[in-house]
Amino acid sequence: MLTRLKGGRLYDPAHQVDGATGDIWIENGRIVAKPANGAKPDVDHDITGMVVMAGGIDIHSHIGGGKVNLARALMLEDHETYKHAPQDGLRAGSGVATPSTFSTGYRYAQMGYTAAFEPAVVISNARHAHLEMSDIPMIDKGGYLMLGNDDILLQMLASKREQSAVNDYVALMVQATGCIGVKIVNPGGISAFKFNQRNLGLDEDTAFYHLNPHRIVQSLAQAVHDIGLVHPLHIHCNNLGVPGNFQTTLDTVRAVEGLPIHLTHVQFHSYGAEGDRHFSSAAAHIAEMVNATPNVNVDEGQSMFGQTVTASGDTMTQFRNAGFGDPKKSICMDIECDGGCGLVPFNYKDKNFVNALQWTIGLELFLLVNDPWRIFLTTDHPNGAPFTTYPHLIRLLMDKTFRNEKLAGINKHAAAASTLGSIDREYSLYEIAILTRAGPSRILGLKDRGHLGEGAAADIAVYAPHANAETMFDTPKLVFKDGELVVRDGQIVKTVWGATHVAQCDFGHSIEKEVEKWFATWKGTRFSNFVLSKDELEADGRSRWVGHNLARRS
Amino acid sequence: MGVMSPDAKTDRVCPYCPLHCDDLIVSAQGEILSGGCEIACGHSSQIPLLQPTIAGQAVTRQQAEGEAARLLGQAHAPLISGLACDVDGLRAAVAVADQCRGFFDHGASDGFFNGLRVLQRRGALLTSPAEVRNRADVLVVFANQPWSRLPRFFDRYVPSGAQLFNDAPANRKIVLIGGSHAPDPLDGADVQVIPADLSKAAELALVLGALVAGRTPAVASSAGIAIDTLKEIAQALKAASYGVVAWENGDFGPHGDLAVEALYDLILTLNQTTRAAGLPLPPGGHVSGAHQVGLWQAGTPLRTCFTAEGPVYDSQLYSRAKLLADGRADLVLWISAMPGAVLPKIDDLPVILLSSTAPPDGPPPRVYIPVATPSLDHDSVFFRGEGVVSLHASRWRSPAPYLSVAETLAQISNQLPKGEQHPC
Repeated sequence: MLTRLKGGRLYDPAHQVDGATGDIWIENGRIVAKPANGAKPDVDHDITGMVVMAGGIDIHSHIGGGKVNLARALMLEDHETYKHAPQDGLRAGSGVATPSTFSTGYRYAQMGYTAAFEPAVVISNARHAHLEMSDIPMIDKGGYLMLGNDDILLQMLASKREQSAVNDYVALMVQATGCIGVKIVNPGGISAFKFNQRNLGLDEDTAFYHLNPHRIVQSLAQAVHDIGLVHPLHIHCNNLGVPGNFQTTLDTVRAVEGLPIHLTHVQFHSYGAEGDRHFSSAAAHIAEMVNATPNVNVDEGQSMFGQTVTASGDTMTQFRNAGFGDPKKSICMDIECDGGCGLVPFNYKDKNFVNALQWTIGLELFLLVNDPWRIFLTTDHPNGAPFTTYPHLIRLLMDKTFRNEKLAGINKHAAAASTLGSIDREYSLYEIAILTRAGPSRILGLKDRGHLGEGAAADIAVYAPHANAETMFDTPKLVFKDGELVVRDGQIVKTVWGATHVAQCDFGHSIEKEVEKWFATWKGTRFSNFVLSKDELEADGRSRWVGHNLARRS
Repeated sequence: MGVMSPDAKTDRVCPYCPLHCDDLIVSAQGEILSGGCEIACGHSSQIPLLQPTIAGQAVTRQQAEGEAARLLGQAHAPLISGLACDVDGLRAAVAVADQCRGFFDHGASDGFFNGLRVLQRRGALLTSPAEVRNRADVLVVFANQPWSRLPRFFDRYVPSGAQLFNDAPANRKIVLIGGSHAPDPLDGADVQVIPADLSKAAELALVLGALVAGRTPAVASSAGIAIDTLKEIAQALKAASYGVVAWENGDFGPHGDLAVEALYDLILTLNQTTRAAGLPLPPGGHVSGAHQVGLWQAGTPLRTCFTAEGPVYDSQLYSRAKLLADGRADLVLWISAMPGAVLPKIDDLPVILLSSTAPPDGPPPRVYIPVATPSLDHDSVFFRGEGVVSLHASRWRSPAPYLSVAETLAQISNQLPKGEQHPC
């Protein structure tokens, strides 16, 4: 079937198209050239004057896995308050901070998003993460494997195994867990917490292994680079949330000695310790570093005001922060010599000095980082806020007047301490398209997503222009997923199932024997029963495993 | 036990208890050759000859499925329960509950909710099997006698070999509170068995928690344990590098959540100075899987009602026992493809039974449809009882002449009235 989207204003930064009027032709799920034979479209959508972008891609959103499910169980009120019945072929669901899988897919699609990536897949919980993602309709998915606190790797590093062995191990685990990237969370700190270490700086030694995070990050960044993953090591730095932690962030960048890295939810890692309250913004320092360091990408982790839950693999930090829980309850778990997880409900309040300053720090970062290709729009869902706040966040970035109105309403000491009010920058639609589509697809290596060129998957969002960007981005006029019209006027009109993006890694097979033995000896279980395969993932008829071949660099 | 043959299959996952041991070796016919405990080896490898029935009369599978769909289509408040099946079966079961606006609860979830209610109200500080195996230097278990339902627990959680972080696990101290005797594999280990009345576990946990916190309650004993003995246990936990407090949720009686909450407080106190974590013993019948799947699909745990406004959860009101006692359900769909969720006696409601074994004695269910046993008859996924690890179980033997739970529910779902069908 041939479909035409006629007369839209196209925002396609991957091809430097900035609002030019044009048609988009779709056939067999792909964007195609205008038929040379003059063929008429079977379906014609007149979208004259409307804004057209590729479908949104969320590079960092906790959408599925054991940690998310624990958070759902914990967030009773979220699910009592927000629920929807099955109707018009849609499944029932509940929750906003921790939505059910079906709700997650529906809401992303209703905002014009067509892909989201789960950033904290634990080795032993990888199948669970995929099972949940398989039950998220409407969008493409993928996961980043959490390494760097797993005892196999720490043991390898402590015994000074050669980098090639580390590379093989990382490649094997990425392949076995069906992931597309690698994330490190509080390098060494989750393991150290199991040995009763309560804080860990970048150059402190961990308990038992006597490794410092510097070494762990460096080796893992090298491995990710060497095995050819497109997405650089996704780093959740040490000392999340600790006043003065911007120095740890800067030191982490220095530790990798020029290797490409991605610093995640950087808002939570851009804190100074100045002022009467010993909590201040260091956004300018971090932005300056990003602007001067081309090997560094960041995603934002913007916090917004309201109820949410923090869900993290960082048990050391979450245990420390449990007292801030609102409601006052928390879960921490040590997981299978692989990692951990911690859940603490949070209610960010605009009149609270720290919460308000976190909000300004995030926005300062957005506005002070010059290159929109190297910063990505996230709230670290649900840690900073639910992903459903993205339209509001986009308006804050695009509308200085609105931003300053909001600034005037927050804690006055935080407002006074922030430089936010003095920043004039307003993001353009073109830049928003970079932050939310073109940039994420490029940094993840999704060659056929995030753009509107010929051959791209027809994941497309069409928005009616509106002076209020929140209104515009909240309810797209039309959304297409792989060429099918799935959302009209913000309502789901068809349920579809997206693909799962997976890196196809090479590794020396001796590592497989080593890991098999390790699992049998120390976990008392069989590695073969953990390994995920394309056949297994696709057996339910919903999922589609899309492999991305890697070119090994070393 | 049979003789190892060249076509033996290794690394098979056992469906019979929540440990889901995955090192079994089975023959091509599904006979366990190695790794099976007494529970696993107690199950016949023969494929049972079962016949679908309506009101006890033999029918074709299609007729039984059609009747099940008709009943579900007519029901106003069906209870979808049992739920002892693999993950795909559970996904299909939630979908049916959603379609039919039914209640959703596992057939053996009472003990599980003692722990879940505390987790939801206060939180939890938990550990998992591999951490216990390699890290625990003190393990205190509050349980009467769970070892008969978890035969390889000690082999899996605290084996006698070296630990990853401790070359001398013989120093590991194991205290079994409530148990009348230690299981065999523990002979030779440092095991202390302390009889106790676990119906008083809440008081016991409060007293032990006070001792851990440095207070001495003015009692001579608690739950039958002398205060001096409890002081020793408290001291051992405080001195441990990684103490693990384990418990059997179902042994604490109807107000067991009070005991679990007191144990949680005790664990929090320990973590002020050292590391410690909780370990609910794994519940049977794949409760952990049913909990996980229901939670991610609906956003709410077991004991959810799929109302006209969406999923509504109530851990008391929507338990299957309460629903049946209150007469709130008008039909029961009971799923029992693996052990752990026996169909209760239900006299006054039509029952659709999907089971891998014959219906229980007594009046026949309105509809009975035999189903395959997951793992044995088809590839499956199970959550191990701790709820963290899910394993892919390759089938043991040639496919049985029965559909899986997921396939059966799909057949029924497709015959539901149009308004109740889903595209997914």
